[in-house]
Amino acid sequence: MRVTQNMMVNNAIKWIVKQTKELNDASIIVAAGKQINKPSDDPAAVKQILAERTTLSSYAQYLSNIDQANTWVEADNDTLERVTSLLREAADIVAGLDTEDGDTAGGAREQLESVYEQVIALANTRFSGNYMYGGDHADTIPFVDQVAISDGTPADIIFALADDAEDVTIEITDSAGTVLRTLTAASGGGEGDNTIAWDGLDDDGNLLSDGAYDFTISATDADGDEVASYPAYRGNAGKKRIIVGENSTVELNRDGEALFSETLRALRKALTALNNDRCDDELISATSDSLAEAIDIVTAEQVSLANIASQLSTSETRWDKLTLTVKNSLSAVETGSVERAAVELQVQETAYKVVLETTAGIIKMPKLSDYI
Amino acid sequence: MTTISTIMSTSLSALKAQQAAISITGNNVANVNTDGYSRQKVVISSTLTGTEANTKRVCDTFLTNRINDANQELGKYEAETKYLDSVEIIFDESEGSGLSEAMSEFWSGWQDLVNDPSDSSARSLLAAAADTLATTFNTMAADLDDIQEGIDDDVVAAVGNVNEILEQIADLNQRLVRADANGQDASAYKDSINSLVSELFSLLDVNTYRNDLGQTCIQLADGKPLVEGGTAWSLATETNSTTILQDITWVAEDGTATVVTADISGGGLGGCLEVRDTLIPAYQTQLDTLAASIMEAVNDLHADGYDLDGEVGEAFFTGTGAEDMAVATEILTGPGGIAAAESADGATGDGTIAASIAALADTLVLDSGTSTFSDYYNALVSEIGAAAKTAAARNETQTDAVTAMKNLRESVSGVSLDEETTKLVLYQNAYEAAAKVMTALDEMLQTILEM
Repeated sequence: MRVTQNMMVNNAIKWIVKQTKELNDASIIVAAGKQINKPSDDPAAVKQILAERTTLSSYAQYLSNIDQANTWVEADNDTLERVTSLLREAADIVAGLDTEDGDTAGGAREQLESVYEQVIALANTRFSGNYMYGGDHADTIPFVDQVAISDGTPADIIFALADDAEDVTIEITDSAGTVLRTLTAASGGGEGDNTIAWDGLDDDGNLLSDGAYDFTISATDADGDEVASYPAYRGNAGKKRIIVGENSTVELNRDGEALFSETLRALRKALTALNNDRCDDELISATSDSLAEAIDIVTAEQVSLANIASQLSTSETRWDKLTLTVKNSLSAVETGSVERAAVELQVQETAYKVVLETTAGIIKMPKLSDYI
Repeated sequence: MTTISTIMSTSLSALKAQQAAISITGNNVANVNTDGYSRQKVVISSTLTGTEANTKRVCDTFLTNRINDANQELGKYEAETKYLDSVEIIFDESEGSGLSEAMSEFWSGWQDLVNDPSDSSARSLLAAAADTLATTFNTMAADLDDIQEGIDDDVVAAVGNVNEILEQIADLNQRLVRADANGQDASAYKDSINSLVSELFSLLDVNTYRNDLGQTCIQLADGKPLVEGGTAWSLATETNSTTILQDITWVAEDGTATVVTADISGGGLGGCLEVRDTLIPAYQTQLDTLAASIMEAVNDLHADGYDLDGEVGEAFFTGTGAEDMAVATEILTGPGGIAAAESADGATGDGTIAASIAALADTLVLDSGTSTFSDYYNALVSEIGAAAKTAAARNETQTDAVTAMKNLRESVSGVSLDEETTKLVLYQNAYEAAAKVMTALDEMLQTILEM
């Protein structure tokens, strides 16, 4: 075959172009620290990399969910711990009641009153801005004798009675305690939750401004004896959900009614009886029973929390392990071996030098005319 | 019978022939680096009255045609590589900041809302993540459009190039015939025509043939004439009313334009059209499908939910595809409007709907219920990567093939300086010898005259 100088130059240029590209590719890999820097580097691997990144991101989210749930479980458990100890205290007070001795009854009443207030406060615990025991009603105080007017529309008045009542009077007050409106329930009240509509007006027939208003209930039975009243549960049974994995959810109980209503009723009933000096052995035994039952309920809830905590911890360990596995796999595909990339770069550099030397040789090649 | 004057004219013819040979050699040396130049060979033959030098253009038609075909493919792959590399950049997820990331953040945002449905910062973050997702879709769709429009400009420019080449070929065809008629050497015209045809092949797929006069005639792939003898037709562009992209038309003698876009499949123009009309629209469709499916799935569930105020969820996303996807203004301005709850009762603390929407991330929605949104997108990125990789690989192979073929042609038609130098010395020596004969004759004549 006939070979001309131009053919040699063409080939030399072709090799320079090729080798420069190889060198560039190798240096990008070393500089970026990644084998794959754009989809066309390895389309199949890119698909895998993207899928693994998505997986990692979802694991991170599960772990973050679990983290939040753990804090909740801790706060929940802590609250219930204190409730249990308060209930034990109450049980001791009730057991020690001497119905004959007015003085001890007075002291016990004060202690019980304090327990009652503390239980209500715990039942109204807020965690990161939300009421823990209000079900899905995160922004509503679960246990309080309050009624709200919003956008000029009054809510219904909800209250709970320990027993059936013949006469029920509701006094709506402002923050200073001034009575704004007095309502009476026409048909009296029944044991448990009662709802009474309110038109939002004060005694003079003026619509009150938006806001929450306290109210107090005075209820008496057919014999004219006071019927105990306590705040009705204003939340619902909605549970808190924690997504701990694909299609895997842990539900946390936050039903304040199941946890506290019976306790509040028993305590209030005992307190009302003590107030009216009508405390007898029968009431003491009933209250003791109720408190024992309440302690059981709260303890059972703590057990279930412990189960959930262990479930969360199992999931956490699992995602932690899988995160590590996927990260390793991702790094193997995406980063590859740094050493290999460095060696490859060295090889390409050497090859580039060889090509340049060859080209220099070709273009400096002697011509026939040099010798004539 | 030999006379001095016949010897003299024989010597003269020898001097002329060697001079011509030297001139041809000179021409070859001068064009050693001229692209497309075919070296000329000196053919010295004896005549009744001595000798004469003729030139022969050393050119292999077979190789020329092969190079043209190879150039056509190279032009196509070069164009495809260029545009697909740009497309690939849009789908570059290597830094982990693309659509894939935006989707993950969006679904995570819903899970964060499940953790605390009444939390206003979780709601704002979700709205922001959704906005980022929508904007990412918008940007990608707009970038694809931009590339399409950029290709459109290139199509118009390439059509202009084609027309210029066609004019030049027609012009050279005329000169060629004239030169032939005048007995002039037309080699230079032939080389120029060859170069132009080669350039034309790299732009689009055409057929060529020689007419009786040796002129190069050119037709479109479907036979519409582009150059016939000394006449050139032209191509033009017009806006397609549906796609708003440029169609290529062939303009007849009477000025009527026929759309020929579909007939062009090779060369740079073929590559442009392939990417502009087939590949990018396919990617756009997939991106739109992805955006629309996400919007539909999220909106469906969202409409079943209740927002913080206990109102039924309005549309979360608005729009129909990747280009106009947006988060509803009400949600962007008031993230309380995100409907996370299953019922109006307890809308502040219930995240059932949010959990259902978060679960969409792992739901097999696309490809007839076989792919999650992420799967679908990852497959699209992979598809684009594969297309870019294939185009680049073909481009590289074809570049090598063209270089190899050009070298083959160079081997036949290229000028070798050493060869020419050798010949130069040869002709120079012959010239000197012929001149010596002349001197001898001169001396002989002197002798006769002095007798």
